Amino acid sequence: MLNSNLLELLGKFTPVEIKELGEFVSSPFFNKNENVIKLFSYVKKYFPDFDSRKLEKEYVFSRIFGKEKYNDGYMRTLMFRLQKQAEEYLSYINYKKKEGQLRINLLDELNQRKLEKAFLKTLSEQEKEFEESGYKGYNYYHYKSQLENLKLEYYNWRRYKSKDFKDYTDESIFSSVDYINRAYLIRILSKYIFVIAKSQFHKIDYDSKFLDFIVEYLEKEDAELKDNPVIKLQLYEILLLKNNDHRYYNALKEMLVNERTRLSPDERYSLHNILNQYLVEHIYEGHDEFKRERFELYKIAIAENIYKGSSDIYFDDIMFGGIILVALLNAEYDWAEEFIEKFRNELSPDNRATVINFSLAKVSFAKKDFAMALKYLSKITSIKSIQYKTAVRDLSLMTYYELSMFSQAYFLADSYRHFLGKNKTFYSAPRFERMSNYLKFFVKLAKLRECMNKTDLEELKIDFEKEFNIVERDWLLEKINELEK
Amino acid sequence: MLKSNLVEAIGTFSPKEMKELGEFVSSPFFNKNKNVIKLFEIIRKYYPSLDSDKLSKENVYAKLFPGDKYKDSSMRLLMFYLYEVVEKFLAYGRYTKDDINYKKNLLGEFNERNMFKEFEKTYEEVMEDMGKISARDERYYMNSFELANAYFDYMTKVHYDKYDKYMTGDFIERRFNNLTYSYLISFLKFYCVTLNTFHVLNFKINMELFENMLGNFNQELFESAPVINIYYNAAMALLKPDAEEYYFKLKELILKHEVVLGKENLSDLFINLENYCTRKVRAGKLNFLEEGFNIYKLELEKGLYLSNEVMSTAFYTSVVNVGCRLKQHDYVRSFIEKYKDELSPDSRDAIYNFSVALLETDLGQFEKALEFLSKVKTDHLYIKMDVRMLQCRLYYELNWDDSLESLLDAFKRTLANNKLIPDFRKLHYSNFLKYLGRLAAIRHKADELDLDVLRKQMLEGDNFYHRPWMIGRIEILEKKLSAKTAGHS
Repeated sequence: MLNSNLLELLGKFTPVEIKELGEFVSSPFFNKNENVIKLFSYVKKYFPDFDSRKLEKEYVFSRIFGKEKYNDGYMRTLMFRLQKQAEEYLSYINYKKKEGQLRINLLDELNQRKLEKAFLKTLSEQEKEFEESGYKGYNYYHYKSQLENLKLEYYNWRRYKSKDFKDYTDESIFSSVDYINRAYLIRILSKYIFVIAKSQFHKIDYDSKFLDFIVEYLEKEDAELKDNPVIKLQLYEILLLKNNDHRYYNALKEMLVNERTRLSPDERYSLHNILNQYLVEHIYEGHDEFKRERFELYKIAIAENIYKGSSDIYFDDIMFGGIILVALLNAEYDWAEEFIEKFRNELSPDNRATVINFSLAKVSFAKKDFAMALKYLSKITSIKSIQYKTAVRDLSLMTYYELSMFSQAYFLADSYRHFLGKNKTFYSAPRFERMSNYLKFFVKLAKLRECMNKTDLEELKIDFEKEFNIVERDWLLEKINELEK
Repeated sequence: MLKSNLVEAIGTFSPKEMKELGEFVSSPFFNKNKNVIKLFEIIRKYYPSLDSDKLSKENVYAKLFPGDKYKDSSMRLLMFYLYEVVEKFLAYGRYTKDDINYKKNLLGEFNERNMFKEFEKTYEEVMEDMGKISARDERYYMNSFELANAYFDYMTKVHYDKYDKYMTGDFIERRFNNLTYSYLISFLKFYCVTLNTFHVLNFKINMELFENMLGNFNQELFESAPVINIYYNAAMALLKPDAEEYYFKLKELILKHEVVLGKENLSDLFINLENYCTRKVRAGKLNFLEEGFNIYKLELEKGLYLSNEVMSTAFYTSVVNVGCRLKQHDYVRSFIEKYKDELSPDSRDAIYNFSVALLETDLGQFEKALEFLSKVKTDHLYIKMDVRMLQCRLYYELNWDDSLESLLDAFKRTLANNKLIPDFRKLHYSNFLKYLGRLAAIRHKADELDLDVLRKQMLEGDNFYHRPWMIGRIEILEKKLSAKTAGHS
């Protein structure tokens, strides 16, 4: 029993859930088998670890049935039944989280049973609740459309009782379709944004004809739908991602700051990421003026508490590293160190050491304490995130260069090249090119530093000046200039 | 207490539900208040009638708390608690009716708790269940979309940033498509409801969004989701009634894809076919009379005529009307008797009597028809209008000229005062009244020319109810006139 699915399942429950599950199992509506109740009462004593030897099947059986001979088949059946109860409980508590759906189900049932008074009372309570909520996202429109459907069904059966059609109004007929439209737009656009954003990092081939038609329609024609801040937000995000038009950046940044109540924290968190990504791409294209803007944007995210999504337990590793990078680009060393100290415990314990050591190595490197940077880098033993795998390699190469550790640098560059070759499909084309360019220029630079050749250096500089899509471009340029001197 | 929401709700329960509710109320997960259980047990004794005087609040209170002085606030609170449990029971019942939803919720919990093994097992089960569903309707596609989302969340957790494991173009397209298919079916369905309602009631709404959508609609894009194209053709048949190809395409697609439509959509679409035929007949396309009758027969054969578990009055009277016009009197008589009990009890007698009156009228049994018509008692607007028109026709057939004149006057006033009937329908009624008035006025003194002029006006003017009957009356007068002329000569 110790390694059973049942105990594994119960091991993921909280103490409150275990208590509730006890009530659930003791409820005749769900379970009438006394032995299942006894089994639960016994095993719950060993919550949360469930690792006692007293949880061996034979032993548990003897505790439930006394001296009766052990029956493995029956014991397994009991365990299976308790597991099913636990699953039913989980499904129910998940359903209970969707409060809107709970009410819709109740209304639907009251309507079917033609319990008019109760239906109208619950309906008016629900409508009031909807109207009081300032945020109008997918759930609002989804449930509103279901509510309108129920109202139409109610009017339909009620017409047998009434003398005319006075309950039908233009609004009641039309609003349901309007809500369906809005719910759909909010949902499909959010998925589309996600895919467009991901396709900047990873090659994805998909047919977006119908989605592009919707975007075009919204952009040109339907001003009314754009009155909804969520739809407007998503439309502008798509247009920013697809067209790179700075007007959308400004409009979206304004929404990030001003639409605190009408956008959800998750929408603002995602918006922040999209704005940040836009700046990153432009910085790589040579727009240095956005470096400060990016730092300011991160400061907004921290001040507004939107640096992580509502369901995220931990600070995102990538964002953490990004914040450090941007602070250092703006020579905000003290700010970066304070930030690491303040937020280090919000990182996932799994990856915390890597992120902190990398961040401290970055700060040391920026302060030109290369030995210290190498010390922090050497503390990084295992890297789980693929983004950190490249970032740690980039910084290690730069540190080796600064410390004139060329053989280590070439060895690492070679393994880095293999890594990139193996993972080419993982990266979007511009991103792959950015890293490959870095590696190419780094190796040339290191070789020139070891064995100076003026013509080769000039050639390198000409090639370099034509290319903007390079990781750590500023540092490479600085080193080329140093060699020139 | 007798008229409380609580007792009213319990009164709708079946014996099986009552037993389950008893277990539910006694379940500590939903209720821990012993007095609530006692209250339920007392009420249960009077189920199913629940109309005993012993269910007064005071009596029940005395049983709950023997010897205590009645306290209304406590009694109300207890009733409120029990009603809350009843509400939970109703909502829970609805939730467990949908096994896919149950498993979707479970997947959500497994994912949140990183229980990947359990997730995989349940995901496999639910996908197997989905494979067994034949209806490819909006719910199917929405469930597919939501299950794909759950799977995506799971893959994100398992493979983290190795997007190539799950962010494939095919997977993304399927996700987009499922959401879009579900939306388009809902959208087009409601568009049809809106257009149908627009035909019945006098409303004007902004259709710009729909028109934009349909203007750009490409059927080829949705061949893998036939329900979308079916609703598209239904909408187009409503929008462009003269382009009959939409109707026939719609009928063909419905019969071809019956299984993927599911019963609810199938019934809904057959009503669209019916309505189309009715409108065509009204516009003078009499070949749609037989077509419409065949649609009714298909609905009866497939058991699609039930709405809220009753046969609608419109369906019942339409079969009678069309059957009479096609002179299928025996079929109509047996239909009237066979399906009478499937009508809503509220209007059953009225509709039955009206239908028999229609049949007897068509058979020339005018006084018998009038007898049945006098038994019709209804508040339904359009049934009232139908009854009045039949009454007018019977008075005409029976040569009750004075009564007919008074009836026509009263009818005109009713029509003028009614603000809910759309203009085009008002025109149908007022033309009926106008032409019947003129026919009645000249019937005893008409010459060939009068009748010819009237016939021309009837045929060339705006449409109106019972036009074929009215033309038939002119033909009878013409025959009489020519017989008279032949007699004189």
